[in-house]
Amino acid sequence: MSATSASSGGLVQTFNRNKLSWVGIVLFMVLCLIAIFAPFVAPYGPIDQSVMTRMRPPSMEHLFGTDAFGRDQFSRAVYGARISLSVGVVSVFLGMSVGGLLGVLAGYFGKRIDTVIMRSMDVLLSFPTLITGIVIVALLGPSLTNVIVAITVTLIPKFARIARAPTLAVKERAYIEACRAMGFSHARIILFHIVPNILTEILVMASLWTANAIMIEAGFAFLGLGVRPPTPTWGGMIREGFEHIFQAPWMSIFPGLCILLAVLSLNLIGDGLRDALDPRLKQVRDMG
Amino acid sequence: MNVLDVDGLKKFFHTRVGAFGGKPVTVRAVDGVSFHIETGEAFGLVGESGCGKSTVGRAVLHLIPPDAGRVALHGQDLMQLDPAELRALRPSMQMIFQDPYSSLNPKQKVGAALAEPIRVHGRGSGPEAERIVADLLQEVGLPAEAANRYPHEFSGGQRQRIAIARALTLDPDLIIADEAVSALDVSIQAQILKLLSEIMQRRGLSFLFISHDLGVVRVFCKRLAVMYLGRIVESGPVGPVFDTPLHPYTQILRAASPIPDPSARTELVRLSGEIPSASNPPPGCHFHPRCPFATDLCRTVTPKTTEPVTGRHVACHLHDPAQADAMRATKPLAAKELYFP
Amino acid sequence: MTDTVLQVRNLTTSFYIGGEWHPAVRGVSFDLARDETLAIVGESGCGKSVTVMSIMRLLPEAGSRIEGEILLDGVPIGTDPEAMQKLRGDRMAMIFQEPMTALNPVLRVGFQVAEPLMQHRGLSREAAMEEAVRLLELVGIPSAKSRAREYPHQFSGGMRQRVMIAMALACEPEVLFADEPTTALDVTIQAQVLGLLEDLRHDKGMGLLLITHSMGVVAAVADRVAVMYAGAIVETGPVDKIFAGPVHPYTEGLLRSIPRPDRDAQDIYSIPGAVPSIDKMPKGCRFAPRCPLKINRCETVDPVLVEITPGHFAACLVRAGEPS
Repeated sequence: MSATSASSGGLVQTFNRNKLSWVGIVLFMVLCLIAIFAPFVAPYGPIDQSVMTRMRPPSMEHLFGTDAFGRDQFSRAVYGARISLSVGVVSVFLGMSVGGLLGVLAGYFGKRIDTVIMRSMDVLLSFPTLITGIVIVALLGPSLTNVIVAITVTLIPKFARIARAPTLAVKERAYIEACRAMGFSHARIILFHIVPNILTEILVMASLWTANAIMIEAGFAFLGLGVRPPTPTWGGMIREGFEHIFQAPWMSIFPGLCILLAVLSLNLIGDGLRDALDPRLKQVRDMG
Repeated sequence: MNVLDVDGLKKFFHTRVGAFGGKPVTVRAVDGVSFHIETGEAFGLVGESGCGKSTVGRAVLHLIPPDAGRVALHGQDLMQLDPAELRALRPSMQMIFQDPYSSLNPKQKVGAALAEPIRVHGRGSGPEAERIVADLLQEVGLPAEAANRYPHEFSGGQRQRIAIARALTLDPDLIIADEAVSALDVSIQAQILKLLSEIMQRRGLSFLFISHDLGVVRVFCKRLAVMYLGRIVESGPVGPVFDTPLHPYTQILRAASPIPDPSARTELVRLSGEIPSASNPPPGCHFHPRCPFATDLCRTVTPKTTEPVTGRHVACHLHDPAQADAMRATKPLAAKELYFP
Repeated sequence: MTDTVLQVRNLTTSFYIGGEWHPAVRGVSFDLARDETLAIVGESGCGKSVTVMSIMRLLPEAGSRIEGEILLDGVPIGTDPEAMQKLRGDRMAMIFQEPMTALNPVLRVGFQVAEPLMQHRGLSREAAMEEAVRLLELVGIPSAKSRAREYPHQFSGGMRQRVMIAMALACEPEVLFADEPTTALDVTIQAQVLGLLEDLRHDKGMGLLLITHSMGVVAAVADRVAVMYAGAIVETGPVDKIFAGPVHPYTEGLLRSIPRPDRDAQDIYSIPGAVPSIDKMPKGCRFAPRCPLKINRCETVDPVLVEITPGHFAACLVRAGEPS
């Protein structure tokens, strides 16, 4: 009894019980606000150079210190949040929409459509993320858009797989049969009766993969495959700091911490969503 | 005119058994089933799990396409219709399912679930749909506020009422109820049965009532058919079929059905044998391996359906005058004594 | 009764829900004799399964509280978890509703039947396997020797339930608990399994506690019956007396609601309302809100079981009165 009520008790109540997921939400909101209002938050311009203040350690004037060009690392990290977070959010949103829809179609129609969609997804999945990224960036040239395209392409098959499995389960439920008996169209059944019932499971993965996408972007930037300098990104900052890791460790540590915070907040949100989804896990934890 | 005519309905499933593809197996889920339902009548379809009774219900509704046979609603053959025509006819036939927990969309409020088919089929919009929903909720004995709540806020019995209301939204002529009261507790089951018979009376509805529970069928239905491994073995009016069953399977089914009366307690049927799988049914009469009267004839020849009593049909060599001599000639090999009160 | 094997006294089991303890079973007492079938009957949520799980101590420790006294052969049990572990499967055994989930799908059937013998009787593997084949024969599994080497998925539902029974019987228990043993089975198979249980109970002189929702099953096999409603026994007595003359209005309503295959339908009778949920139990008699005989006093006084004729008890202020 309690299991059924918990599973359908709504996200907000479950989130209320899991305090940590609220910490994650607040943290992520703060990061997003900082990114949106970067010009107001950052005390200096992200590419303003100053020969006088090169490689300064953190101080009240320069919270995160300065780099080899005397640029304020805090301001760069604030502007870098724009790139990192938008790459994460946009690529996951695109990957979720396209991949999720393909997965739902494959699961719902089955047979030939299922085979064609899922086999092509398997092909995409068989290339490692980094290789796919390198190929796409090499073909299209390094830019923000192309980084997003590269990450989206690697996310599509993952979302397709995640969406297909619950679709298979939901389509066997009697209310879908009832919809067919009432003469509803496939589009209506998919949009109004299948998608809402698998959305939570997809959102859990979306939050976790946003964290992943942020890290992948940082990896691309570290390898010089991402946005061109001098535009700041967290991954790019780590790479620039790497050359001076022994003289000026703060140059790499602070952007690293930013990535950590973003990933941590998204993982906390993902855990909260998962509790909302699978109340049995939650109950076991409460009991033990 | 009959609301539903089913003639020689067949539905086979093709699967593979075993690892790495395996060998193809044909499951003859429904193997030539014929019956009709008169307008305003509740017709029972009875049998044990795997006998194909649920498949009949779904094939009649064309939720799964039948392989052969004729399904006619008000004399119109559904097999001849194109998908658009079939969709236009769907409102006339609706279904009620066994499990009230899986038959409602958990993310949809009750009011929205009931209004959706009304809007989709252009039977009303906005306030008019709301009025229809309010009337339906009242008809199934739920308060009007129920429209603003989600299915999980209701008990099993109340959910079944919601499912009944949804089946009524399109004002159907025929309702296919697949084990509609089987998952409910006795006291709730009685309430739902009562509600269904009131609705049937008031709206002049017809029912195809699929159930494994002979008691429920006796209370709700006028006529019934008994299925065994994809075929109808006996059909007729409920009272006579249950009181003096003709087919040996019906006799065993009836004897095994528990009766809430210890004074009628009898030796429990120590009938041995399992229900064979529909993927590999025995030749001849499907029931012969479990039948106490089985002869060599039963092992080889499929029995014809005869009408030994007016209005009652049975598919058994024992009741086929044409086979009387052959049946006498081949003595039952294992003449077990069948107990029947 | 000298032949009493199991005594349950004032069993109360509570669950911690929403920050409060709510009793799911309230003050349940009964005796079970050797070679006797006692049926506990009631609708879902009445506490019949929780009663058995409490006796067997199979409830999760966190969030549940068991009070009362349980005596096996006159000896109190249940307080020491290790001693209970030794009793379970040995002197007290249990059969569940769903034999597919109660059997381990990756172990051979014969081994699973032999396991309790190795655990409790210290038999060698060979001896236990031999005994397992004998047990499978006993519960009517054809060609038991070869089937013992098969896996549960190769068995049909009825055959799996027979395997469960063989497992439960392995150590010749004194008390057998059967929780809805035939609910998942077809009627013809149900009749076979009930018949088998009855035969075995008689041969072994076991006490059989049968949990069921079906009055038809009760009528077919039980000697005595206890009707539970909202966590308490509302009526108990010999089967023929209760079916012929139910005293509690709930028992009466339940019997009248059952659709019978053996007579033509009169009007469908139904008890109005629904079973109250565990955290919203009414005060006084818990059946009062649905009861046609309700008087004012029913809303304040919780009725206790009163003996009407020898062995026949009911808890109803109107029909059975109050203890003098």
